[in-house]
Amino acid sequence: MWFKRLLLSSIFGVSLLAIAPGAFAVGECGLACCIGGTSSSGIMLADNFGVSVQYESMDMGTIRHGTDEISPNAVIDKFWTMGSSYAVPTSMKMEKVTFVAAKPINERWQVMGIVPYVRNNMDMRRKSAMGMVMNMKMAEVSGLGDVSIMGVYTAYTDAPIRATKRLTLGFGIKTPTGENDVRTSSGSMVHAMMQPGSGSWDGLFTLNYMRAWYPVIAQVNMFYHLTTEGDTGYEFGDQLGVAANVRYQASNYTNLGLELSLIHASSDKDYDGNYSKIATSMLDNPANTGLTSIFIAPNVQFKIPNTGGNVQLKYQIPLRQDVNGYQQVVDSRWLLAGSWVW
Amino acid sequence: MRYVLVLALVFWSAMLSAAPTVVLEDITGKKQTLNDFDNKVTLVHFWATWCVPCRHELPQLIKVAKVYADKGLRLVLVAADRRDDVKTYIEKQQIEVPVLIDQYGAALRQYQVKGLPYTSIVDHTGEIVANEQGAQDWQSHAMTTRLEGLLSRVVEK
Repeated sequence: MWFKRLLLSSIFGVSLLAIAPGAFAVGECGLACCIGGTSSSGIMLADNFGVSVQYESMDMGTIRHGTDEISPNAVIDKFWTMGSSYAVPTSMKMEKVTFVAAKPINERWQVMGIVPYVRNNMDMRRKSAMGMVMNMKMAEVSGLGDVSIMGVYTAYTDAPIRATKRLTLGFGIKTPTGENDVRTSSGSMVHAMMQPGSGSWDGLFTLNYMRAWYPVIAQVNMFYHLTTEGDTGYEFGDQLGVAANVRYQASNYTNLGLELSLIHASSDKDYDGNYSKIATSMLDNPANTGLTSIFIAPNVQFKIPNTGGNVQLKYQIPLRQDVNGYQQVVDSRWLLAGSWVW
Repeated sequence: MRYVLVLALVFWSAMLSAAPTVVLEDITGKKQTLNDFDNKVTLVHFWATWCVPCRHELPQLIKVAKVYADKGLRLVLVAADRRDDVKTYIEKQQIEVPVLIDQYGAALRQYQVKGLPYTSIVDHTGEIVANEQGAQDWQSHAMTTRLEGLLSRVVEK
């Protein structure tokens, strides 16, 4: 159930990359500051208000036990008992469209609002109490997710534009605006990680350090998501993310990047047992949550010439995944983001 | 006619705005107040060493400031840049006018700078009378006439 956290982490990762004005080389543009364009008489700046729309799509198919890959049928054979059904996911697709807005308050502080819309689909395989194996499709779950608000503070920078060293800290709150009690047509609660929201008020903490040797820019992002119990008694595990990103300004309008990220998520807790069906479902078992994963993600950013606009594309694949219990893990993830700053 | 004049005066007053108070460090790290205009016409000029049009404009601007210095014109350079880069540049170019470092962009924000180079022309009363975005021809007839007009009021006072 960690991947819902990963979605949030990735949004903050991308947003922080974009929000740190010093990260931008000439021709590079982000969410809160931008060298808008150049002409013979000057250089345009855009640093007033930024918006971004981000689409991400995550495909999951592989099931792991620890670091080992295991087939859905093997999981069913291990946990199914005569007289009781057992279900295992065979594939999941989680999509998210996120609207992000950033507004500088003064030279040190910026506020950022994040509004996600999620759409989750899943295919499952179930072995019935009588031993019959069936493939099923879960009804799509979609809706407004949890809205987050963050304040980002520039603790240090060596220049307001085109800095070579910059440290920013972020503090925020994730609010429980998304639905977390969506039910299936049969009336049972949809799996916790497939719900659009978590029902909890969570703390968000970020740290971003940027060092530039133009045209090369290196950044380290740290993200900590401090979770609390949701109103339906479920608590997602805390999550720590660390990402190192190196970008190279290949031309005035193109940046090429490579990101290496580590994510650690603690196990979830289902205090009231509203989502747990340990005997019948791999997915509805808090013991099958929490993991440590390492990802690599090539990325490319295109700046729209002489404007405050840019487009980013990122493709993320796992290098190593070590999960608690049995979990379906991310096979690949795409992220496409368009940003504009005035 | 009287009302027209009053309206024109109100409109003109609205067009003027007091130069913001910003405390910045100079090249040595000493704090300086940017709006210490001291009954002089001041050109608050925003620039950066990596900005090519800024580098082209700067020598001419400094030359004009020198010509009118005795008449009450003051030039303050505000660098939206790294202190080390600015220090190296002004030493190499032998720039002798005051240079302030806008490390966190406080002056950029308060002067609402939307591009570099950018010059706010502040009259002897501390009011911003014009903002010029982009490189200017400081030695043009129009510009020198404008500066002389502003400087004439300094002398009159």
